[in-house]
Amino acid sequence: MADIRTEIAGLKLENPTMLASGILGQTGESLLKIINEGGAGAVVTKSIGMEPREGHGSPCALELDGGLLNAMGLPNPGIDAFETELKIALKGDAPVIGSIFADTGEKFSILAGKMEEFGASAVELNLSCPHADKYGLDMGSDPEKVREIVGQVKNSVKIPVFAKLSPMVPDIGQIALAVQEAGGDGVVAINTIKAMKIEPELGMPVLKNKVGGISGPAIKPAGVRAVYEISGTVEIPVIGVGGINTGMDALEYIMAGASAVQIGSGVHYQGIDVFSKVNQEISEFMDRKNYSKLDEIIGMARKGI
Amino acid sequence: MQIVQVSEVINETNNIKTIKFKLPVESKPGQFIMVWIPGIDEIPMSLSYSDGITVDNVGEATQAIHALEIGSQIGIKGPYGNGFDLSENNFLLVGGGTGIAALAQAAEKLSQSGKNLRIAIGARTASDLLFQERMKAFGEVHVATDDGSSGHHGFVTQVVEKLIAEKKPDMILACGPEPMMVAVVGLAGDISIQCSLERYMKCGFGICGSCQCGKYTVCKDGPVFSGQQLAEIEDFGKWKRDAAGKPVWF
Repeated sequence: MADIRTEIAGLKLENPTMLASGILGQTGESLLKIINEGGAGAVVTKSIGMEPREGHGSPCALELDGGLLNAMGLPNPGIDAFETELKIALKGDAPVIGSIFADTGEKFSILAGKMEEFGASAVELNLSCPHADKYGLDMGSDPEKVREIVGQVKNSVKIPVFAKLSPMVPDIGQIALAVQEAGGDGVVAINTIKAMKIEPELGMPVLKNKVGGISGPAIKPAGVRAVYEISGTVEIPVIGVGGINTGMDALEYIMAGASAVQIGSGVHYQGIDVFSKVNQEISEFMDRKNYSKLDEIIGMARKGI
Repeated sequence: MQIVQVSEVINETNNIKTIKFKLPVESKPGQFIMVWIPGIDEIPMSLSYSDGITVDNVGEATQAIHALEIGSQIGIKGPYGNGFDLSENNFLLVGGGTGIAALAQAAEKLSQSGKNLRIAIGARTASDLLFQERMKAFGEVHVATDDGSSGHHGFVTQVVEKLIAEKKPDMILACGPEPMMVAVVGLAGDISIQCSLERYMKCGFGICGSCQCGKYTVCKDGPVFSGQQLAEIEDFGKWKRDAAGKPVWF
């Protein structure tokens, strides 16, 4: 059997699949279930902010032909209430990565410090949510701002700091470079892409927030492209995410340069078994092609072997 | 999402209306749909009929549903959720308040399959009783009201206790206020039971995690849970989560 263990910034993962932020992940027990029953190598929490936040009104999520459209609007119980949840998730035998969002580097640092104090293995900075004013993409589309935020967070915690980026920028490599130059330990790409659904019968957008972000199969090629560009620009590890449902989907990201992958909408399409299924398929592929370690294929498409 | 037209509006009580429409997808008793009132909100509602929902006017969204007229357009996602397992033979159904709406289709189906069925309905007063007449066509109906204006004067759980003592059912189906369901689970003892839970829902199809209850996602793993499952849910009867995901104790 091929060895599919992987390591990102010192975090040792039994397998390269992680739960992406935003899917379940709001409670400790849902995270624990993804580890224990789903078989994920790591889990990322829902994005947590300074204060409790209800998020956008409903409808806030839709199933479309090519993927899922959502405008959740960063609902979360606030960092202080999240301590209990994180501690439950930590009972599992896999790293728990705390996703955080804020509108200043200072607040990002406070949140990261609390995640570290609660026991998170790493933090993931949400610099890419496309449908919450002041947050997410509004923070992550300017390389200088990204450099400043990542630098501040790096100065306040010892655990690895990952930045989750949006493909909706002219040059995602430059944003990733800013993460690396500020001392960031890894880049996660991609978040959802801004999108809209209009109901012709009513002549109006369906989402209460009108605009949301699309995930799922529709965005996989955009994600693979982004990971390919990032891995050609930076040395730090890249975690690929966007439309992964199968081992072959994950392999595209890995061959584009991702050391690990995250799965979100795939949980909807395949159930929580998606993690073990994807792992099994990666393993079978590697056996068939006589690869023994994941390292041999990470970035393969870029090397042009 | 399907857009459907309201085909009928029925006043059930002073504060409860049934809205019927042409539902394009077949459902199982106990499943729910997400109902979008354009421009207002989207909320989960149990299917009280194969083509209808029964709504207590308790907030902005339900008020908007009450304002719908024949011909009004609404959006529907689903049906979602697991529904009830109706494979046993002797059933006791327990509905508290509008909880009977989630059980109504199960009662209809059980009656059609010729199964033995007793139905206990609880409400504040006689005028708040829902589906009493409709249920009489499906089985033996027992009523309790808080003020004694109809049936037993007191809790529906007291009626349930008496019905279990008279004849042990193979299966109990319950839906209503969570403290009532906790009490019914207690009365059931070793009798199999299924309860339909209500939690704050956003997406309705199992991804956002708003309705998480213990290790279960109510919209996808539920809303119907067995007694064994309920026993492993620490939240059951204790707390639910608000729109931000913070626990709110009952």
